[in-house]
Amino acid sequence: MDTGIDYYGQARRILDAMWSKDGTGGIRNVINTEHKMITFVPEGRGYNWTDPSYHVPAFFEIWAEYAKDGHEDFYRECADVSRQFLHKACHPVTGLTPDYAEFSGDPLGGE
Amino acid sequence: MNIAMDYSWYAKDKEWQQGYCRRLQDFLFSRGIDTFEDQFNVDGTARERIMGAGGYRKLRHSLGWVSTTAAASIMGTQAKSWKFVDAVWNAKLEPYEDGYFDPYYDGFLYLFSLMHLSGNYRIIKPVATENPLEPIKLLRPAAQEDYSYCVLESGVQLRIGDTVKNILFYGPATVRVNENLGCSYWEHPSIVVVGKPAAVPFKVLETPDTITIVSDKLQIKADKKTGALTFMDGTGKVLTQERAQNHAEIKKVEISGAPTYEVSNTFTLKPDEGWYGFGYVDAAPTKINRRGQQLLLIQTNMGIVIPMIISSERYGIMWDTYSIMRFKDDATGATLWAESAPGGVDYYVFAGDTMDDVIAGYRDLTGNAPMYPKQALGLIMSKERYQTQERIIEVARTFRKEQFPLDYIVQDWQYWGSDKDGTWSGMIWNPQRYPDPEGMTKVIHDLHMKLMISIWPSVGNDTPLAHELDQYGLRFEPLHWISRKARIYDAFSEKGREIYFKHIKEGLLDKGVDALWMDGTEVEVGTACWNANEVARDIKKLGINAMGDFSRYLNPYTLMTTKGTYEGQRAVNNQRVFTLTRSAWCGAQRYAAASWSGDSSASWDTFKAQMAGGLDVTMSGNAWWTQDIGGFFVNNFPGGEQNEAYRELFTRWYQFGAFNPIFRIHGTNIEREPYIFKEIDPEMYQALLDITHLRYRLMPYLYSQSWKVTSEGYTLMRGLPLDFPDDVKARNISDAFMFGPAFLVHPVTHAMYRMGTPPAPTLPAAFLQTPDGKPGLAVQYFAGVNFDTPKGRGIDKVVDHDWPGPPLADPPGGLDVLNNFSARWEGFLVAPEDGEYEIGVEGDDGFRLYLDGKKVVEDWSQAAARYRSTKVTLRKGQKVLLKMEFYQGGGERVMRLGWRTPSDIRDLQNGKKSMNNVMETYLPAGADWYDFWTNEKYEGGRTAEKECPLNILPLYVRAGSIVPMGPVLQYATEKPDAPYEIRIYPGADATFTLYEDDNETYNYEKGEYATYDLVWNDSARTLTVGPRKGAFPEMVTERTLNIVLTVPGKNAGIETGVADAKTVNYIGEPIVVKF
Repeated sequence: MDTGIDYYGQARRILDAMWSKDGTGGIRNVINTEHKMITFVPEGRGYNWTDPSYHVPAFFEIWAEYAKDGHEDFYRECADVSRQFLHKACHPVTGLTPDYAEFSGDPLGGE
Repeated sequence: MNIAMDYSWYAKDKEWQQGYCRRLQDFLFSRGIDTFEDQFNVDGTARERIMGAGGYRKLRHSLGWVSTTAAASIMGTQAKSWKFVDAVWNAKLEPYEDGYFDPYYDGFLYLFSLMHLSGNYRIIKPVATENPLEPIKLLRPAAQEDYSYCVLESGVQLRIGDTVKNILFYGPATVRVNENLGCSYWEHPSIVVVGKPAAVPFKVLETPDTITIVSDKLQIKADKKTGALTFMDGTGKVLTQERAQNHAEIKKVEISGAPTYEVSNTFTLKPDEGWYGFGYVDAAPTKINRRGQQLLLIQTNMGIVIPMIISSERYGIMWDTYSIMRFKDDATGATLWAESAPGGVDYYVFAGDTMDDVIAGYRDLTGNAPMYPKQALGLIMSKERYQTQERIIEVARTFRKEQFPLDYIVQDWQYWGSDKDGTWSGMIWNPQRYPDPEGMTKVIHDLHMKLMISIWPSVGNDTPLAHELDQYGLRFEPLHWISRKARIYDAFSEKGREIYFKHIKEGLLDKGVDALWMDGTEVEVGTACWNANEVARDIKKLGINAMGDFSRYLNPYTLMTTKGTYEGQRAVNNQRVFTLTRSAWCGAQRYAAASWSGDSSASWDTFKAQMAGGLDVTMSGNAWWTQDIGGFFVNNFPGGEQNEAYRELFTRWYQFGAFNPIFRIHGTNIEREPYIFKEIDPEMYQALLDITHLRYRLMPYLYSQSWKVTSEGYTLMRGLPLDFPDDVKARNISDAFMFGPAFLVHPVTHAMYRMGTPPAPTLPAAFLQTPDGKPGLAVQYFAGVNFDTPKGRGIDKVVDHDWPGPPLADPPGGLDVLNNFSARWEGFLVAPEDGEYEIGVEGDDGFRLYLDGKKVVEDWSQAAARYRSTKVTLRKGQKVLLKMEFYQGGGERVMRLGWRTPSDIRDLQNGKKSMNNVMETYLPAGADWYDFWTNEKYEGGRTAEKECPLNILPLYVRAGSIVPMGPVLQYATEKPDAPYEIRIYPGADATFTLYEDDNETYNYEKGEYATYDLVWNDSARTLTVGPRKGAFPEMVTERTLNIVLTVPGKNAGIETGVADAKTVNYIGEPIVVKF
């Protein structure tokens, strides 16, 4: 489909920018690379917790399949980790999630 | 909603996800489908602390929450899920009862929910054949090897080590090669290519060392170790090859904050192979063949760089890269380097049976050239500049009164106001000098002429156009160097082009202007664009345009701005577009943009360079090109049009112009409307009139060729290799060319009759003395143009200054700046011999010369460099008091003291007597030739000699040509029903297709045109006029054809052929005429 927009090029520019963040100025990767999960924010302490509403396993599947940036395996793992996280973060009766969560799925700070 | 998306696309966690949906919806349903709140503790109990939003702190049945829980129904397994879908369907995006409104969170969640639930939310996958910028998934990864490949719909992808190389067909004989490190950093599609990857049938043959892609017309063999490609035609004959070792260097770099590649790629060429193209590169040698040359590819004032070449081996290469590039051909190969190629090495190879096929392949890929109005083939009179509407009308009327043919008259800049105020190119008219533009264009149209007008990409600050562009931030910060009150508009922005054209239409086209002349399209910002490096520096200073940084988009500003004006004109009416632009690029032809070679300076060398440069433009696939007949600046011929040496140059230049695709007079400094020479120089005037009459008599020939340009990808002005690629001698001829299939034109490019005097030598230090007896002259500099504030002193051994601008030169003599200063030189001249001397000054700007206290030369004005001199008789050893004054205002700065000694003057006079007026012309092998003026016949492969009085240039016609001619006209569309003279130059079979249409509109695109074939059978001596195909409303249905056969001494030259003419009345039915 010729939309006149180079979706791939634009997406790659964003992903490449994401991978270029090495902590300079307090900014790290928007994905916590140790926990393989989306962070609340890539800045400062926000790197160390997550937000259940940010979890979109499908995005990682898409990147694994089409980004061609050498991180395919990592993205695929992220998709699986994200699904496991949601199992823990969603309440077993109500399905509700906390606003912010530890990478374990517990509400942030025990809230 | 996020979970639903994962469920519907990947379904890898189906069971849990369905259960999750059930649990969530059960819980919320229990709180009431129309009332469930948007905040709870995770266990479903009520929150104590409510989070605020938009200044409110309350629980809501919020639209965003209704939307996302509805999207969960995609995973739903119970009937209740439909209730959630109904809820979002019936919800409204509107404020809550208390007035709170959240279009961001609520609005977007609502939008996404509806998209998901529509069932059409799906992955649009990058399709390799549609967007080859995207590296393609390797289908056959070869685990243990450095090399692998996979077959795609339109080609093959190779992976060699870290590099990925796509080889994709775009047509049966067109293939794209795109090599990078696995990623393309383009953010927008190509601005050049309009073709798409094509499903050309091919097969792949593999050997241990190579794989070969084999199609009907092209074979491409890749070396598995290096990835180097060899291109062959359908029979396996090698066309060209990438260098066996290190064929490409690709380095990832970052420029202006964006990733890109610095690249070079190298071809190994055959020893005698000719390469033609890269457009007009003005610092290049005056040779059409690019072999052995080094070129810097940056647009300049006179340069028209185009990254496309064609080879005598019947292939072409186009690089789809827009940054600074350098070409170098030497013993190591032919290499193209690019500063910023975001897609990596990216080029297209075109193959063909003929050179024209190769160019046609380029046109198919980048867009065909639309037809021009027929009048664009007539004479165009342009000048810097007609200053009032009365004057332009007076000139137009005088052409008609004097019966000198003319089709276009041109209004140059400053019709808007001045060059220094804020009105620059605002698409407006100065009301004092142009009170009635509509009335003016009506007079011009009533004279059957069209009006072309200058516009610039720099827009004056005080114009409605600038104000509207500025609302959208669509002018760049740097000021245009002349006005300092104008800025460049962003032609890379669609909105920018739209606003620019809207004002062109309202201000100019709606007033009756017929054509746009787009000046300074390099784009010109900080200088007049003489120096390529300065152009690049200034364009980069513009920063980032709507598509990206100017390093990656350095060269094709012209393509974007002519795109806007072409598409704008096409959208508002059906009149054919005809645009002139100072730069061009691959693809420019599809926007009806003819290029011209900028502000040339009158000299025989410049004239000769025009020809080589122009041929390299047309052989780069851009068929429409022109230049300033007579040279834009006329500085080295004192007196200008009054100088007989200049008039000889002008005449020869004009004869060349008559065989340019576009025939156009333009320039500054002097008067040059041809009719003024009727009184000044009748011999010259006759020469101008003769060749003009020939151009107009050839109108049926020319217009039919222009149809071939449009319909077949043809080229009208043709370097000899286009028709004779296998004649090795013809491959290196840069001063002769074919004009259509019949004419070989060899313009006279040196003086024969009126040898101009060379510049006077600089007066040497040995004959100058300062007031205190040292060699040279004492000089004092002053700030201000009138010796206002004394600055430094010094001694100049000779006076020969050509100060470049800062930062290349430091200001002299304690000055702070290199503008607005003056200087005075004093001392003595000591004569070395008896006799009459010429002593003169060449200066820019003002100067005076005093000898023994008497003022002998004065031109105290702001002007380009010019030489003014006086004659003085001196005795040997005589000491003359010499004083010289100079001022520099702005612009260039030159000051030189020159002279001619009595012996110099004697040598000059002796030289004049030895002039030779015979031209030797090489006639290519493979054809016989006729001298157009006499019909004397020559064999090809030899040199013919021709005596060339001022009204004759060597002009030969290929044996086996048919040349249809009409009568002498005053304008190209006059006398539409006049008889045609069909001239047959026998000696070989010939075919000519005559083309006719309404001359003005795009109705030909809908099939409204007519053609008929003229076929000469040389052995049967018959001319067959074929049946007319097609029709159009204005068609002349019945025409007299006077068919004449050329024989030595008869039916030759410009006069109508009458000897043994056979006259037939053509009504569209076939006719056979026997000779």
